[in-house]
Amino acid sequence: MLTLPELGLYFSFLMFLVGLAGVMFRKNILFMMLSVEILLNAANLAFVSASRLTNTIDGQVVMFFVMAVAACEAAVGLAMIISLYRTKASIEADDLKALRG
Amino acid sequence: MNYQTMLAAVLLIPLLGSVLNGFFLRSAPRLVTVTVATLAIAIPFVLSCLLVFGPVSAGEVVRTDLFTWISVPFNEGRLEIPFSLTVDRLSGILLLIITGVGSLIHLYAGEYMSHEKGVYRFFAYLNLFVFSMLSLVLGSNMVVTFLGWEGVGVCSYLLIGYWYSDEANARAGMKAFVANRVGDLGFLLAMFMSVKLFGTLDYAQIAEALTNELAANNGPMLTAIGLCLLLGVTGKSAQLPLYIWLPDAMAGPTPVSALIHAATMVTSGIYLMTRMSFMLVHSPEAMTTIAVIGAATALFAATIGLVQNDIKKVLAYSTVSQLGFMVLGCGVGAFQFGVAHLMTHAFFKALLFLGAGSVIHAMHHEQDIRKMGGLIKKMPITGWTFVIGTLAIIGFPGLSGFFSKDEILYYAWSGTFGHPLLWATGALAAACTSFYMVRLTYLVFFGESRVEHAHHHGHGHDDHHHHHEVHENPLAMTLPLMILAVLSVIGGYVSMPHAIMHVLGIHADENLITQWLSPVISAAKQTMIAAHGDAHGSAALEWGLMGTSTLIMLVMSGFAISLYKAGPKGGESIAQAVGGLYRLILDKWRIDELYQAVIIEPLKKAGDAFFKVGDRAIIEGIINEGPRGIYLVTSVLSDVQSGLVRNYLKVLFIGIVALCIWIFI
Amino acid sequence: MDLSLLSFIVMGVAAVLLSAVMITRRWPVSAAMVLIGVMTLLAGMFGLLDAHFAAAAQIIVYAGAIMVVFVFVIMLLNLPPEELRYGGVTVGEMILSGLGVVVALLLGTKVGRGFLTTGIEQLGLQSSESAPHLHRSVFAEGENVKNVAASLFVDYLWAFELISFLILAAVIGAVVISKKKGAEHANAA
Repeated sequence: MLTLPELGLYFSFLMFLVGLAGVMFRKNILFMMLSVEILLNAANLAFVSASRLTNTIDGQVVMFFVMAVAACEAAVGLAMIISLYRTKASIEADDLKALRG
Repeated sequence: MNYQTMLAAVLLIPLLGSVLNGFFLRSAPRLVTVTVATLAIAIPFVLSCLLVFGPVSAGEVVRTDLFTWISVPFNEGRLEIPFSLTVDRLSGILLLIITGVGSLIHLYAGEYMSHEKGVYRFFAYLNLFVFSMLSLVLGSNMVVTFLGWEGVGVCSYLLIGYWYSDEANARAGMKAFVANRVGDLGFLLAMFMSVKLFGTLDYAQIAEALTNELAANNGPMLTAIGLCLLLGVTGKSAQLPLYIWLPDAMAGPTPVSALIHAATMVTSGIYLMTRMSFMLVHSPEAMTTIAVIGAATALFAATIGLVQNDIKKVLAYSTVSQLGFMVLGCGVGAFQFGVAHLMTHAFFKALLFLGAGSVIHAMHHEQDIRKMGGLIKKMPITGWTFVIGTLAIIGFPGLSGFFSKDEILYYAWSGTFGHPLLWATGALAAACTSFYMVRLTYLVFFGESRVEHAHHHGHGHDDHHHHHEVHENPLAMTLPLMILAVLSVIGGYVSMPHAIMHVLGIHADENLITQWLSPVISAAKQTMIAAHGDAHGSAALEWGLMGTSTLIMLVMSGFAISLYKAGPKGGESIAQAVGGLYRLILDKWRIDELYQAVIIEPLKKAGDAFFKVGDRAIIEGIINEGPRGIYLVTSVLSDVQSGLVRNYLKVLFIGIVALCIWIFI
Repeated sequence: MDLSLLSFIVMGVAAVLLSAVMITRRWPVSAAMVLIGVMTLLAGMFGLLDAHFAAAAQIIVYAGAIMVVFVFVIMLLNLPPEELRYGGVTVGEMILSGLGVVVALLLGTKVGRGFLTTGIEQLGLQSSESAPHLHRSVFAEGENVKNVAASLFVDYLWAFELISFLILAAVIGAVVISKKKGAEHANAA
């Protein structure tokens, strides 16, 4: 029988897959960023579960850091979306090819 | 200071001077540069005198081993080649000529080059040249000699192209270098064969190893060595067929022409042949070839000299011709008189070149003798010393050239490998010499002045903004002329002919030069006597030949004076009479064109073919097609780099899946 | 099966399903709302895992603060419907989805489970079952916030301070990026 933390790890993995599908398949940058939030949440769940599983507190501290990084990411990413929409009049990821090699 | 140290110092002081001037005194005042350079030759001259008139004249051989230069396994032993120096009587003479004439020319050059900028370069090269030349003559073995042999070639190249901003000069330097390389190949081959045959390259050891038995068993090998040495000699001493570089070498400054292309470097071939005389005489074929080439060169170059109008070109062809005489002397077995003529030639040809330089300097780089004339009144010292030099070279009785040249001509007839035809060729060359030298002297110094003042030539390196009247040069230039003039007069008495010695009541078996060089050439002499019997000359023959050549000289000189009394156009009637021949000689027998067509053009064509196949097709093919292939691959890879962030994520995901599968299964 | 386990499974399944719902929304606002639901469910799961501080922070910071920014930007952009099309799902994307399912199944098998536990053992950590005495010390009732704070401000002090620089940089970056071009000229005028 699975314990709670182990179940949490499985759920986090499934959520991560769903979020990854969102990032990969949605062409809209806004949705991609929302999917990234799912990814980060899945990671948080994994951290907290691992913390519970191993009886250490560090996982929860790291989850706190992830939250801070997520806040930064949201702030900068959304600013970039606004700027992009202003200059390119589009937030389609496939319209942005400046990284082409 | 013992003699060994002195010997090393003689070699190294010029090198030190070169390094000082080349690296440390670049911005020093001209006076410092010239003083350092001249002292770097004058001090070795003093040391050389101590050496030569001390132990060497007493019959000793001073040898010093500086360090082991090369040591390689060879024939179950080791081939040791030390960097060692030897001064014996032969190298002693050369030593005195190089340092003595060298110091005079350095002194002269300090004044001659007074209008040049960055003169330190000139003197650094000149000192380096003297260093190389000294290692050439002082080397105890062929390798050290070869080092000097190459060194003088490099310095010659550097000095011919001294005014390198003019492309013609740079080309002349290159031509000299390439022609010398061909000769160097011969020297190298001779060294290889010597190692094979004797297992050593040391002159003394070779002489010991070369027994009559060895010589009898290896005749073809010795002939091959002799001919390879001859090839080296034709390159360095400007003999047929490699003489072509020397006339072009006149592009260099005149002191260089005097020192390198008249007095020292070009005579290194004669030195080498005399040094190897004990080996050469074992091969009559090689000796005969040497004699024929010498005689042919003497006549050939003299004919070209007849029609040249550039003062330095005349002297250049004269040098080639005189070198031919020396080679002829060696070839007929009279090595000592080849060396004697080397010495007297060093005096009078250096004198003539320096005199020519003095004229050129005073005329602001005008070299055409048709634009000179009557200069003896304005430049008395230069003029009269030049006249002495001319008399010496044409063999006026009593002057140095008379003795040394007539001895060579006498042996060309009566020497071991001599033949009347060789004498006839030489005598004809001497006739031409008399004609062109008198013509040159007369056109430059006598008759009406044809000096123009309206224009001015230059190599772009002088900055005379106003023209002075032509006048005598300062003492620094005339003093070497006077010293050399004295030497040109008295230098020949070392090789006084037997017949004259007899008349003067000097009771000696041999003349001075033969006595002096006897340790060096006695082995050769014994071999020749053993194989071919004693020389078949006689006093009557000697008197006869002497009289004949004096007569020829007087007639030709008189002919030249009468022809050019009215000015440079005097020869035109003869020129028109022989028409085509005149133009052929004026074009230097079109030898350069012949080489161009026979050697250079095919080489160029071959090079072009190699360029097209090797360079264009193969190398450039690889270089061009290789990147094209890489480009094809990378263009596929760069399509992966689409710039679409979602694609990157997909690839990342595939990676994650692969990682999971790898871990779980 | 006790209640906490049952509710944890229900919440977990709901969170995964709601995530799937979120990434298939056409309108961003509804997606954001669904995401808030996911976060709330996660907060509940954190609570069940005895991570009370994490549960509270999840509600306050994530669902409260970050998602407000998202919704604000979505409203600000006010995207027209043609910007919000799904686009087709290509064959390659279907294959990728299949691969994802494969990996999910792999993890669900005994192989995956074995990896999970052995991985933890390999890391030198002890699972809560094998060390029940630790249970109380770290996850004791009402001690969680104190423990997190102790770890955060003692063991991770430097990281915590550096995070403040990260946030400062993000603030400045956001301002610079979203600033209108020529704004300074406008100010000068």
